[in-house]
Amino acid sequence: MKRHWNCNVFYDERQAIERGRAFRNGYLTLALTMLACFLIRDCFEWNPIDDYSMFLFCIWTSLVVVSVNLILNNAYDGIYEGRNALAVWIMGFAGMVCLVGEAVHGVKGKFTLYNDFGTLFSGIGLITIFAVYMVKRSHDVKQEKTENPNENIS
Amino acid sequence: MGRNIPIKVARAERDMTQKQLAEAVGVSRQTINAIEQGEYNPTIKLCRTICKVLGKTLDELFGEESEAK
Repeated sequence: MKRHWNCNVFYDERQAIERGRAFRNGYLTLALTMLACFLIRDCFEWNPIDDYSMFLFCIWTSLVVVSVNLILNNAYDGIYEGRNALAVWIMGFAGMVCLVGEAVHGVKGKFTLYNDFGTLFSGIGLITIFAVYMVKRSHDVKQEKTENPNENIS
Repeated sequence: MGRNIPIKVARAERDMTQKQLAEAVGVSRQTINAIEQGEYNPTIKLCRTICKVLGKTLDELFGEESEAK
């Protein structure tokens, strides 16, 4: 497989297209969530969550959209191996830390949705990426193992 | 776009798995799967490489009659 001259990925035309689609969807999601937040906060003068949480909400929504698109469409070679796999495990761990941290915060009676929505949403986003990755990986491994070249030709 | 049966048949004739064909062609296994399922329309460059590996002509693998609904 050919390695692209200036980046650490192999060139596969379908994957290049899928990466483009994923990033386009991510940018659009970021723009739309920022627009929605601007409308809610500045036009309707309603502040359900603080500015930092709103920022995290916009960033994590688009990151989840990009990541889920990339994973579901197998947009990278070796997405299940090496550094990619490690990155997803770290994401899963970080997500758990966020959620457990918020749960502890709640037990102590300090949890408020206004202040803690950002961290809670970040944790949910991280766990979502991790879960989608694991489900897709198990599906792909199963598909690869059960594949027989002489089967299901109809 | 319909499923591409001829590729699957040609692959079976050579007793190749999707992974083996993908490695020979230089793409990922999922790309070969997407082409066979009719979910991805490959470029002429990739079509020619697949034909070369499977020993078939473009018409045989990607001609109009090769598309099954």
